[in-house]
Amino acid sequence: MSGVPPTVLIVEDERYILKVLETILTSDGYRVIMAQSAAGARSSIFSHMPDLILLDLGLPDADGVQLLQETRKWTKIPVIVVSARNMERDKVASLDNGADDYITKPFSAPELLARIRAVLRRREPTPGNEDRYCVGDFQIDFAKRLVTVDGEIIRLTQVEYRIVEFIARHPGKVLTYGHIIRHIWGPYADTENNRILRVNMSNIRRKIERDSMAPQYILTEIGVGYRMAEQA
Amino acid sequence: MKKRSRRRFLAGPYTVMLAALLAVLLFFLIQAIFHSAVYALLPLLFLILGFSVATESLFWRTAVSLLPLLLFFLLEQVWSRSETFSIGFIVYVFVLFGAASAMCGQVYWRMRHARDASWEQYLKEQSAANLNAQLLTASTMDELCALTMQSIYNITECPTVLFFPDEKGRLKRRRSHPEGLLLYSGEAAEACFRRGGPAGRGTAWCEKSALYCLPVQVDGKTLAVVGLLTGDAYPADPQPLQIAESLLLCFAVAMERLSAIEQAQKNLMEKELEHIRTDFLRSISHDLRTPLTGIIGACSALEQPGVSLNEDARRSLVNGIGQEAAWLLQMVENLLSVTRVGSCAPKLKISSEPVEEVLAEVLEKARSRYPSVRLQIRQPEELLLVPMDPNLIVQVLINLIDNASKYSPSPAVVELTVEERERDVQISVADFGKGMTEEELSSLFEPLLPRTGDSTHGMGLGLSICKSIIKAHGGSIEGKNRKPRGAVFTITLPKEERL
Repeated sequence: MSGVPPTVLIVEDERYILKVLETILTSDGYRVIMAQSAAGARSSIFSHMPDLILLDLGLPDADGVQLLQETRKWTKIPVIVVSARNMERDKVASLDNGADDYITKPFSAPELLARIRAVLRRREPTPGNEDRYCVGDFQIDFAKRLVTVDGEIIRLTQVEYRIVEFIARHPGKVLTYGHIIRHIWGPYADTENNRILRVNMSNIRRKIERDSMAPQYILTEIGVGYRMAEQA
Repeated sequence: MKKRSRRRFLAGPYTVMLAALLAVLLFFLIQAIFHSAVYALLPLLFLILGFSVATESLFWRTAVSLLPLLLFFLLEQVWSRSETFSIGFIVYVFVLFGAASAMCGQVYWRMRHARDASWEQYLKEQSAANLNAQLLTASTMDELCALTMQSIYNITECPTVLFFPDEKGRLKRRRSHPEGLLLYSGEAAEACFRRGGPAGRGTAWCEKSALYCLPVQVDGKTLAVVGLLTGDAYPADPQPLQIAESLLLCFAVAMERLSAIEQAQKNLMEKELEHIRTDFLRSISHDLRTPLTGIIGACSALEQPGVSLNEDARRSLVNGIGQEAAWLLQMVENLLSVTRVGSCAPKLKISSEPVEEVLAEVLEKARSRYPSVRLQIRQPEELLLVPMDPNLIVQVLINLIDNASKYSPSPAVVELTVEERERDVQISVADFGKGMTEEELSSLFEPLLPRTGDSTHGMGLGLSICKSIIKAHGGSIEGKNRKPRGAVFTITLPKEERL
């Protein structure tokens, strides 16, 4: 990491976890500021303009999702939401409200650092080549509307292509079922019933993945949504 | 009713013509036999009385009594050219016969109407009783609603729609007959719901509405609102509406009954879950203490001042802390699931999930947690969507794989098989290990109470969690030995969401 180290704001009310996170991040070269409440977080965001926010959803004085909404009104600072397991609803709500990624407690240090790096990297302008995305042997040419795996052209239906394209436009980011459905089938589509999306995804997988039991390109975030694999 | 009786009799003009024809024949017959028309008067009276009941309308009835008489006297005048009857007598006969036939017809038709009405009443009561019985045997709310809507439609001949209040007290369309009829709740339905009485077309409340709304009430509490698209017909015939109202009473009672049954079932399930939870908590407190002892011990050894540990010993202590913590984590995840399927916790988040995605998740998790386990998956080719809470089902399968790996020699081979059946889907986890003893089989899904000197981390807990999760899905789980060796656990999940 060259130049100024990125600043990370950790919003977390547990003092011990805060301490551990601080240790992990500082030892990896980040500058760390901390807040233990939503109020503290608000003032820290204003005064420090961090490069990334690590936001715990369970705060003593406000709902994390609410804080996220407020922040999103005026800034696009990347936010990684930290949530407890079994709280898919919160995950979906925070992703739909503009969180860039989420990580589930408990997590290991390498996992956290990898997520932070990925989110920061995504924020940097991608060098040229906007009309094409590839990962591994999978390649999608947005201009020609062409999907190839290992050089072989994959025949997708109109809807299937639109789904793949939409997900590939946001590599690494988890897109919730509701978000994808609204984008593909319009704002009045029934987002409660994601059956149609699941069926299409199953067909897409059969076409592009070598082993649909171990997908390489389009990954499932169970109970939340789908994520396009990122370029290594 | 009127239509039917009219169809059964001859139309008025035909009756009159027939009566007149018979009167003429009678005249000739009597004339031939007795050479005097006087004898024909009595049979003529009978003829007229007989025909006077044949038609319901007063006009034709009068015609039936008068026309044959008129013909008779005309013929008599023409035929005998004699003054057999005086004018006074003829007038007398006309009046007498007319009055007799009018009275006779009146009495007949009144009786007939009374009989028809009572028969109609009987039929209605019969069908209401039948319907009531059907309503009481309906096993789901949908069935009940559909039946009621159809019956009201049949009785009133008005398209019918049913509104239920949602959690916020706003009315939502639940069902209609004919199906697919898109009628939305309007002010009339809301007014009806609020005041607990009829509203809408033809009433003082929201009379401009297209719907005539009736409340569905039990003990003065309005449960739902039924709207009738009466069109301009209302209130031509209030009787069907009255029947519909009494039908709604039966509907309300049946609804109460259904919800009481549902409540009872829910109570039973909650009791069961409560039971599982208590057992679980009792046995887990012991199990949690063991790894914590290890962790605290290792920490104290690491930070002991003055004692220098070599690199290997230090690493093994840290490693131990990590492993114990990982085990604790799984235990806590299980605990979370139990609170989740419980009553006060957020309900299961059920959605239609592709089985292949769930299995892929299991595969990925199992790969990192049990690197030595070789998983073989067999599943149907076509996409299978099953309603479930995906995270909980993943957890069940992970628990079963964990179980299988513990009972199998390393490297363990575990087979995951998915089979689609008519009403449900079976997922089985099979191993090639040593199988289970009779004793283990008998108490497979009960939380194991801590046994002294038990060094393996509480195994039975995982299975009892699996059972409560699967039960909360409305499915079942069973475990048995298989030939020639190994054990197989099969979970069955219903394809249709059970409400």
